[in-house]
Amino acid sequence: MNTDQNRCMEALAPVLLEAHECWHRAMETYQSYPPLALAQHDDRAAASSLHAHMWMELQAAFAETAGVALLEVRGLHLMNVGDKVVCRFKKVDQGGNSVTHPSQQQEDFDRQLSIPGLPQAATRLTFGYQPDAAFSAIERVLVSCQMGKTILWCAQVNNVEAAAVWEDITPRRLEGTGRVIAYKERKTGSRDGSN
Amino acid sequence: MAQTDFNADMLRLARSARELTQADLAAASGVTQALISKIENKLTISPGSDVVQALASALRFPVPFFYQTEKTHGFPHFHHRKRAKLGAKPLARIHAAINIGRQHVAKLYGSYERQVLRPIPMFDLDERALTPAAAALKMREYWMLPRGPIDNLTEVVEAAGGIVVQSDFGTSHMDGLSFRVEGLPPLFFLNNRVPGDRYRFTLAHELGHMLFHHLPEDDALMERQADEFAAAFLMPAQEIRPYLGRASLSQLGRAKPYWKVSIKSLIRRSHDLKMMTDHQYKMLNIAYNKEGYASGEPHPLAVEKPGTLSAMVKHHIEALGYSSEEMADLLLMDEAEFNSAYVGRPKLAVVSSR
Repeated sequence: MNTDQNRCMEALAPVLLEAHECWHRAMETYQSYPPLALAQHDDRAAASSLHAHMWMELQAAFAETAGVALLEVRGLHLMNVGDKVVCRFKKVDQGGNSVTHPSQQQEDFDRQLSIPGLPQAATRLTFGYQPDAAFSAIERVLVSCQMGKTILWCAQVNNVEAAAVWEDITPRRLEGTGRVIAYKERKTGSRDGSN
Repeated sequence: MAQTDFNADMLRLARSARELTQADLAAASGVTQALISKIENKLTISPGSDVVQALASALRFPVPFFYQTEKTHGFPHFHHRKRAKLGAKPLARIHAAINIGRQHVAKLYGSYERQVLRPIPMFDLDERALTPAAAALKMREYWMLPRGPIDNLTEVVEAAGGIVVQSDFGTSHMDGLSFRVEGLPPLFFLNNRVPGDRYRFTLAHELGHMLFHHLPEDDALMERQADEFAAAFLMPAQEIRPYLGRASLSQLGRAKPYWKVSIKSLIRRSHDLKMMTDHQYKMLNIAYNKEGYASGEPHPLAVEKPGTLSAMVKHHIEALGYSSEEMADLLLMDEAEFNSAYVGRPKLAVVSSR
């Protein structure tokens, strides 16, 4: 299985912008709930509702798209893009890690194990969103590739002038020290992210 | 109009309303600063008509404004929510705005009658052996408010006879103030620069003052009582508890649009109701500040719009047949300013300095 970031993101390219927008539309739908419903949701209910809206948005966007298949495999909502990558859709943290306790099915997915119904060679990816602290908006859309509990790489997807642009935000280890340098520090050169 | 003595307080008020120093006014009016100082300090009691006309023109107030027999009310007589860094000049401007606004309300209220079934009472917490929180629940019962969030607090206050006036304080360092004056219902002046959630909390806080604080007491105690009343009135303990469980910014962010209070108020309420430890409270406040919510929270709420003041203006124009010129004469203000302040969107922009 090829987990190379460039290859995976290239495979995702035909759906990247629209899938990014799907998360934002899903959040808009969620925010249109009556205030009472929002107030009575806990974090899990909120994430679950958002996921349901995301799935509807994906179906509306890609049901007729050649090379894209939306699958429901033993409770997992997945998107197969050209038999090269298969994405699941999750709430993630800033590093692309799923923030909910994974089911056995999800663990198998993250371990890149074979799952009946999925193309063997397709790389398993998480097409995730990170909400803002108050769960009022999508802060970032992230695509990550895991091997077990290790994040192999993580990419942030942005809509820049109606085009999907991604950048690698995988934390790196500082050579010779083992210290992990977060993306923000790499970019700004300081630990607190300031220039 | 029969003119009595020149009222130096009105000159000071008008100058503060326009945020002008004596030197500024001297430059704008051509009257010497020395004379302005003497008039304001009542060393010159009857300035000549040409001097008054020059001052009135520069300050954009009609001449009769300066011959009113009104007295200004000082801040110590009001209850107000302000921040420590509020400077003397903006404070003087707000002082002027409130006094001019009060004069307007008094003039309009004279010909405007309305029935209030359950007016805002005054009572002593100690005499009734009530805490502010218990009093808040009593007031919700008294006004027959349904369980849960108060949909429109301004409507509640105005239905109880209060007059809510939104005014541009020219600063965000003061949220609002309230006071009672003879012959008028309780007046609530709210800064229209504050966001909708803070507006509601301020109004509830001021309502607490109007209910409990008729005589001067310890400031800190009065503020604490007004805060406690506001929190319990907007977020009754029994009803808010289920919404504060496992308090996190995301949880409270979702609760905000329903309860129509700030995330900050929900954090505080959660702590006051002992639903989080001191450490959790501290950490949540750190996270709140780190997210930059202190300068603007997500899920902004629209500021409630008061209706009584605009209804009074409308009554004068439509039922009593006042023209805008007559309205300006009644309120002793410039006609153009009356139109921009009251006819377009009723609010007391009378203190606008530009």
